[in-house]
Amino acid sequence: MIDFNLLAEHREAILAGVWMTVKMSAGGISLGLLLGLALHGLRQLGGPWLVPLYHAYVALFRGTPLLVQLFLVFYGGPYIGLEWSAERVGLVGLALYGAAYFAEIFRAGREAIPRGQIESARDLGLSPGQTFRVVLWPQMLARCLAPLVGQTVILVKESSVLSIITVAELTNVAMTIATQSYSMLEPYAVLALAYWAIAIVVAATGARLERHFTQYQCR
Amino acid sequence: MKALRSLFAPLLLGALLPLHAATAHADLLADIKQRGEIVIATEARYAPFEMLENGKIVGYGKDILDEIMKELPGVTLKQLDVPFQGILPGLSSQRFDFVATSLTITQARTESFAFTVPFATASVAVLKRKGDERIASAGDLVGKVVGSQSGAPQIEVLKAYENEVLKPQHGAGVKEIKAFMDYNEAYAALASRRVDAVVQSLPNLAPLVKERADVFEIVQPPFGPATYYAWAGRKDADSASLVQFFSDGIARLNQSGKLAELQRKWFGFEMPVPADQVPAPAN
Amino acid sequence: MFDFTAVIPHLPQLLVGLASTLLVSLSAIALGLVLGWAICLGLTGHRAWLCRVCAVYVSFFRGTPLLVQLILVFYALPAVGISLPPLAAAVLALTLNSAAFQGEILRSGFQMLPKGQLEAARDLGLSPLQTLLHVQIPQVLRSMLPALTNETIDIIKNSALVSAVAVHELMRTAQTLASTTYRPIEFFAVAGLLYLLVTLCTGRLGSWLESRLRTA
Repeated sequence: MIDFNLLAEHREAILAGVWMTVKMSAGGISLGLLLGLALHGLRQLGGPWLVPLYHAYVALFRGTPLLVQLFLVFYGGPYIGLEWSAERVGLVGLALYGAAYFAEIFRAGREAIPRGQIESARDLGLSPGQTFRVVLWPQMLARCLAPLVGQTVILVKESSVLSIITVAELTNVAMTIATQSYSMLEPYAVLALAYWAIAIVVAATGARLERHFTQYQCR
Repeated sequence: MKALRSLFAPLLLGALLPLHAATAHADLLADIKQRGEIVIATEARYAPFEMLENGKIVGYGKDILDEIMKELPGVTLKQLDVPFQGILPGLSSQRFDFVATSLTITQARTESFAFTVPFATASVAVLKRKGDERIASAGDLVGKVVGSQSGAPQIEVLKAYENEVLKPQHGAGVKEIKAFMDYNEAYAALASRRVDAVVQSLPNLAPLVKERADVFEIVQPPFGPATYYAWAGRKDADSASLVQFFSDGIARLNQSGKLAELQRKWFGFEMPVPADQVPAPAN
Repeated sequence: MFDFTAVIPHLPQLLVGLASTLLVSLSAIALGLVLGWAICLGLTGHRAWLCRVCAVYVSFFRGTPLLVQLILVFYALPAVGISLPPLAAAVLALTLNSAAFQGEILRSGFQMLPKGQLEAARDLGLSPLQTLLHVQIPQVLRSMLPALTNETIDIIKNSALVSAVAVHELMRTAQTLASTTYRPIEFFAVAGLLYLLVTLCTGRLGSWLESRLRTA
């Protein structure tokens, strides 16, 4: 039923598409994690400006489709002098979008830690920096890992939206093959399997990391 | 297959009425008359051929379709608006009975699908930003970034032109061909200076430059070979009578002058097309 | 350069699209919750094979793009004799997708419940069904509410993909209007604002419910 010749014929394009998806997601997600951590840090600093600003950022980037964000920046950007390449718009767009989700995951992880611990740490004479590094961070990491991994998988899949701004990632390649070969089964089977494989690898890596970082919680 | 069907069908169909079961057809046209419904796919983002107005599909193509559907009394038209990437693959997988969306007649497509006689020319022209003096004719595309739709035949026309005219005469081709998922994105990219020009069929460009005369301009005349727009069905024996039915309908409208009248209505000009046969594809 | 007044005459159409977006996504959320419970029960139950099946289901629907799932439901099911109308296909695909996410959310909710509660409930003479209805479900619902709110927001945004199977929701309406007016930036910006409005309201509603349940 599946025409393997079709896949063989487009093998190079498909592999290039997979590589582009991996590159874009890895770059966008790493950048998004750093940005999410920074956002979380800014929110923790508090103050009359930063907290509402943080909430506005999260509402804006989580509350609108990535497709709309990328479209406006890529096709609208040049009007205000922002002439980034499609790849750069895609990478930064994915990072800004992911950061909103990551920051909220860090916030939830932080809020689950009892306040008394921070007070005890202060009483023990730890500086705020030390408190974060020794007391908060290991616990946050342990709590946040599972949702971070889940979000990473979602973002890898969302990177398919980059096709609308001409980034030749996997979905773009598959749809082009579908248009040219008038067949949907093969290109979409490739899409399903490739994304699923990436998701399984990410989840397995996440599970290993989780075991590593939650060791101290076992008794 | 049978076992799967008997397992899943009651589960899923209990609450939801099926559109139609994809059983083996002896004759699709007879089958359509019998079930009283025809499922047609259209990509309604291709003004002025097919577009949406107040949630309904309208346009030159829709007017032709309505005229022809008069010949099928008692059959309801179920017209689905499907993204272009799903149109032909969906036809192959029997999701639709017929495709009434403007398709350029190409060599590759005639190998897999049966075309009707054409109803419009699809000759390709260059679209540029208004007042861009670097491009005065198609020959000036040398060294430029040109946009089009991914998988569109207009790209093939441009590539052929590049190999047969640009490279021999000017020693170089275009700088880059950017394929967008949709022509509307290509227009947006042209307006925002991401590409220097867009290649698209002339009739599609007419309403665009009319609506946004402040932004776009057509570089006349069209370049490349004469190509035509038509509709298509599956190439199997079951579909033959259905494709013939639509083809005859278009030919009748062409001969009676109705087609020319609709062309004036939607494009503002007439474009004579062959009524007696499907023209041989140029590429 | 940009002319947002061009959008005004088409606002009613955009709102119709928005209504369709809400219809599709809210039906999917509600149906997905029901199916999600079933999956959660399978995942936490004692039958190993059922647990395995549910785990593969969750992995597949969380691991593959929604677009692929939509295409499968709309274009591949006819090959086995099932041909759903576009709206039903869209709701079915979104429901199957959301059920995987909601099943996981519910499972983690159940796992957080202290084991002692079950024993305490039994000692008080509650039947297993009573324990589920009066002790476990209220707690799980309360603890999953923030995650459920986020899932609703995600589904509302993801429903933009159902245009691939010929359903006219907000995104597709904006795209088609952009293609007849040739003003894509304006229509995409307004569509973005409408999504923002709806997701903000959803978020608010979620927080309000959370505070209600906390005091109850």
